Amino acid sequence: MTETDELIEEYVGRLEAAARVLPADRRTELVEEIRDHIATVLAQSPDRDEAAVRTVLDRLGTPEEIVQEACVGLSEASPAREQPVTPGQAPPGARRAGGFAIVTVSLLLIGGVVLPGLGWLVGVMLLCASARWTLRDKLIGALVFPGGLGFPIFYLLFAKGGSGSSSGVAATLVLVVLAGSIGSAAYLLHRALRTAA
Amino acid sequence: MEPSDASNLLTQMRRGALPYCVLALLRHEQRYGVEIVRLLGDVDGMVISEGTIYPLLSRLRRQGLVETVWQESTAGPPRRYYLLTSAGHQALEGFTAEWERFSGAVEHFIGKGREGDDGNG
Repeated sequence: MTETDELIEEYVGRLEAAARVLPADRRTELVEEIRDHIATVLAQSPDRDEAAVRTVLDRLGTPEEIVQEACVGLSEASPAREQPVTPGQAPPGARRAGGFAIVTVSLLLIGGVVLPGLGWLVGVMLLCASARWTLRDKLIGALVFPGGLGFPIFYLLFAKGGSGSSSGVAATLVLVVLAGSIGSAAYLLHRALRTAA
Repeated sequence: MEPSDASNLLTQMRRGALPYCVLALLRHEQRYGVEIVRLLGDVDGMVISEGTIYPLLSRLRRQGLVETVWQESTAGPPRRYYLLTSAGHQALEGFTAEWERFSGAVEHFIGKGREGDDGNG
């Protein structure tokens, strides 16, 4: 494998990893399209050196941004949703939205504890699907402390055998992740309830 | 109004207008993905990450506004071409009319060539 092939594979690998939040058919389609795009642009480009490949990948944006865009309207199925909302009219189910936000944030925070891994993933899918959060909120919620309280709690349960200074470092790390995931959950809740108000 | 409000608003406006720009590119002819991405990417201020066009195209297809056909290419593998459906044409026409009214109105107040500025020239 050449160096430029490696660059492309690394990019597509990141895309595949980020796209795990998407339904399988969408994920396959998206990855194929991006692969086709890279191949077509390079085929039309006068040279195929490292600089050319890097330019193509830079212009595509990060895999995470692309997946974020693919998450938009994940739950919407019909073109009827495209119709503009009458100005001044409160969206139906505004009260339900608060409950939705709480369920989503709870899954992100403790879903990974109740159903290891899976609960958190469901939380991420709800987060992506909701129009309640902005792109930045979604990235913060999904990527800053992935797994929520799952990692620190499983660590505390199963990794008691640490020794000396390394367990001190680990304990600090666990505390940081605990505080961080609770903090990011509180942030998401705050953002959601603010927009719901 | 904070400066970040204006930048958020512009981001939202760009996101909202982008699907219609894609539809407009397909108004008279079918185009393949890379072509659409290139046309949008070459205009400054329209698209920041070209890769995000593909999820958008996929969404437009699920909404029934565009459809796709595969065609052989003289260079390389077959290409997926996008074309407007009649619903897509309708959506584009509806938006175009409203957009012209709206952008004309905004231009009237904050545009460079507004009345009063060119009185001394």
